[in-house]
Amino acid sequence: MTATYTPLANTTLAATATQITFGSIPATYRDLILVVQGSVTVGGGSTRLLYNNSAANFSYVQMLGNGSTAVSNQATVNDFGGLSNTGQSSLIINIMDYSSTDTHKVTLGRANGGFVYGIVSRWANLNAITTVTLQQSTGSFTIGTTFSLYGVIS
Amino acid sequence: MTGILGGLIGSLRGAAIPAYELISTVDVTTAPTSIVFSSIPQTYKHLQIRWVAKSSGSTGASSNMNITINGATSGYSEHEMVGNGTAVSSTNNFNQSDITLSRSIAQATTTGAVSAGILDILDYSSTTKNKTIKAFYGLTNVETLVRLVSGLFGNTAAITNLTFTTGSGNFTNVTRFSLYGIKG
Amino acid sequence: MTMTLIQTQTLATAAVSVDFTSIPQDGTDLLLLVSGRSNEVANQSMTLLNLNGLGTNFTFTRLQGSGSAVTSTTGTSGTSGFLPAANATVSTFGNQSFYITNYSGTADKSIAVEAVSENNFTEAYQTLQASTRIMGAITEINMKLGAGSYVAGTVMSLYKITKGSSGGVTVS
Repeated sequence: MTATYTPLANTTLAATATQITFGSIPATYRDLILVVQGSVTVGGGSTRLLYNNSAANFSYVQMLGNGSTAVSNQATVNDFGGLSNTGQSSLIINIMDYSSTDTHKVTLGRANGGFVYGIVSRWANLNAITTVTLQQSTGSFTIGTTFSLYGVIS
Repeated sequence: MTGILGGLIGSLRGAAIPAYELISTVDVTTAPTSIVFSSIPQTYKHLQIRWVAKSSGSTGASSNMNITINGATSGYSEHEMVGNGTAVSSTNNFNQSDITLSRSIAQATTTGAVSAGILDILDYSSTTKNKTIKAFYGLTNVETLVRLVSGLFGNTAAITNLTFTTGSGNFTNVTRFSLYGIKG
Repeated sequence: MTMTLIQTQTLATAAVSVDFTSIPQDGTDLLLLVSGRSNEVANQSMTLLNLNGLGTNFTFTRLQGSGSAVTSTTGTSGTSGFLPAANATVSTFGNQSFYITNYSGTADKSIAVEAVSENNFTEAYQTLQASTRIMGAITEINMKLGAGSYVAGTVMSLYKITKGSSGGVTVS
């Protein structure tokens, strides 16, 4: 019997990288949970998620605190805040109903770096997600950054 | 340890058993206006609900979702922090007939679009505490909203029934609510 | 097993702190869930997270709603959002989660806080917070309040989450 909450894959960077891909994700589960901890070589960027190698047909909304002001903005990308370049930071991302073939895919995210973010995005695509790629928009993920993927059944 | 040894009812150290278990999933097939979890087992410490939702309502891009506990229709409050793509705000409602998760269900405006959220209730089986829920959810279906919401059920009864009702229309057949128990 | 219970503590009487000691080092991340209330004579009490006995060497950025306004602040302590206190609606407890990544490693720690208090009136708090602590492995978590004590009925549950591989998922 499949456990409710199952670790699927993980990696720790032995060299800097601009991109990490989880592939061959089975349709066994209902939701995916992605946890990232680490830092980046250049600040001010964002971590973008691609599904099935696509960066198209996304929309997101976020609320963030920068330490002095509360901000909300939106865009047509799948960005999840920015890891810090001055210390450890984390992303906790829930991809809901990722294996569905009759709905768009909604992702709920928390980013915890120099700023704090709450993010919701939607991928306007009915295909099941089989590949998740994390791309750093500026600079690279640093050595030691960890990426862990989990599946949750329903 | 300061002030703890004489103050504990219990300090349970867990054996290596899975703490997160699926209790029940509702995959909608019959266009209900409400999704109900009844006879919730009292054997867990905390509950989590994960949902993806759509309603058949056609007024605007989203509808509210109203939560009632144990069938009660009074004694609720909610507070929220919401980002709408332009600004962040915080609001309150108290002395309510339910906990309202505002604009939490995507409506039929955009084919395929759904909303999603995760809701946590800690110590749900306590009989000495009012119940506090925490929900993080949102959608980007014409409207763009991300919310962190709290809700209060001002009743110390253990939670045995959770009902989620659309504010408009019926839940469509892409809707899914999953109830998980967390051991403690 | 991905998520396992380390310990739950339930207070029978008020306590100024709740401590989790000798945390096993064989997990990846920690998740602490708190259903708590303070007896401070106030509407709300601030929570203080200490790690390995210390509340120093933190930095945080907070986004917080009060039921009527939103603020963002930053600081260098373990303060981590509000819980209801003595003047809040009776029998009402707040709901907090603390997610700590790579807790047993040597790198500094990142802590994601998501917390709500509640009240049957205007003021109640919703908090998202990103905290960082300069330290190595976490062996102890100490939860305290800015003032007052946690009341009887406060429950704190600590879990470890363990990474792994299964299902043929690849990483590149």
